[in-house]
Amino acid sequence: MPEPLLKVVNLKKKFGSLEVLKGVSFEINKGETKVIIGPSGAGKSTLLRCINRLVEPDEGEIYFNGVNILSDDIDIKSVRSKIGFVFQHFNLFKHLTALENVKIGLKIVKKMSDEEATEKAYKALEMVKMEEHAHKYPAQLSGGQQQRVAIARALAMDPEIILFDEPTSALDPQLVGEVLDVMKDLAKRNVTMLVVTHEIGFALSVADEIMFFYDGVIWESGPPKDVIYNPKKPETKAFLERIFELYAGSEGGS
Amino acid sequence: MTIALEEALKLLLEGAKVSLELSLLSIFLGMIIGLLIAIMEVYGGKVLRYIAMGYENAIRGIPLLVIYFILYYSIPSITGFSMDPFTTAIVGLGIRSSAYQSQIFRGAIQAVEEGQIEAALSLGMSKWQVIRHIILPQALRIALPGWMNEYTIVLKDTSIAIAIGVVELTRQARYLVSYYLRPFLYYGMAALIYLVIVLSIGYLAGYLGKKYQIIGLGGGVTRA
Repeated sequence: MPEPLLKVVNLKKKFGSLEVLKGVSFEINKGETKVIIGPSGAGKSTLLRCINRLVEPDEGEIYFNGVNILSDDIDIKSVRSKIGFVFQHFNLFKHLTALENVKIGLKIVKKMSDEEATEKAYKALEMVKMEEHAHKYPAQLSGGQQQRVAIARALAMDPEIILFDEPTSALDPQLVGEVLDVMKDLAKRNVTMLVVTHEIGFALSVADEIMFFYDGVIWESGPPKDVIYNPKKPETKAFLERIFELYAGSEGGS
Repeated sequence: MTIALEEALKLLLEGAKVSLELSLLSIFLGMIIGLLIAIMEVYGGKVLRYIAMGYENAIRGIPLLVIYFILYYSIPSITGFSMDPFTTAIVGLGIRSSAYQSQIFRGAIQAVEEGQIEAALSLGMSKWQVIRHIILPQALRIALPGWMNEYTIVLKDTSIAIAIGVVELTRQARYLVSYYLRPFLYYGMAALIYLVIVLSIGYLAGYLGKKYQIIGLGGGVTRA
């Protein structure tokens, strides 16, 4: 067995007396797409933020390429530059155009020349089909377009994995598809992705595994079809029923 | 005794030049200190934050005239270190303005969404790179209207430097009045010169606001 790209062991996090992560463990191999589903406000975002230490976990280990990135002597900036992050609210830099948003990490973190960065940024924008909007500011773009730029910003850094934190849940329904299409395309190109989402259709079509996050742990996991159509645990079943009610008819499942 | 109007105007404009220099040097000194204070308040640890807030509150609680007297009389009397009136005026006004500018900048810095900071950090930027490349370019635009307003206040308060003997616009007007009387004329001319400068700043602010405006970002057009 090759070493997993990312291995999370017994991760714990408390906010005051609220125990959000109660011992989360999972791993993801290079090229895989894994999807985390679960009730809102339960700590899925915290889990993702712990992985690149935007939030410091209290306990546990996170191995990235075999190295525990929670140890003190780790250069977390260098680790973060290899872990892409796509946010629910896009979080584009408002004073920069789409192109500049993608370039800034290349120039400042990767120390690329302006020319090199421009070329690379355009390639990333092409992958998300946003090259023709390269010179627009975030406020001039729709939510779906902004999220695609945000994905390009992450992609351009050549990350080893991209973490997606509910990338479509702040979007109008008609804009969800364009973002999911980009993500499916990435999955087909074997970009390693860990995706928190309620888009069951996306999970069914591209995920290698679904993890149901509940009560601070990975409650149930397995191949998408098994978890979604034959959940073993009642909590998983109850959650999925609610999701199906809410999203009835909007599931693509292509 | 009389003096030709042109002569009087020339004297007043010489004073106005000093007032302008004083105001520009003060506002920029205040900007450097004010930005540092604001950054300490928003991003500093507990200790830095308390120091910054203490500074801000203390300075805002002392009249400018008293700041001038402390700098000009008290400090030399204890330390033996003294500054000439013009330098004292810059430092005093700069310090006073820094406590107000820090408030302007703090608000502007806090107006930059937390999410953008997370995004920048997740790209691998250091805290200072985030401040320099993400926060400040936006915060300075957002702060521009308030900052320009602060500049007009600084400009008008250069007149208080008369108390420590700086030969600025108000001092020139008083000189003219004390020699040639006609207080309505000379103080009126001084008032008019201040007014013209302040209005010009208002137009400049509007121009800069437009020039650096970015769609979707605050800090648009303003008038002083």
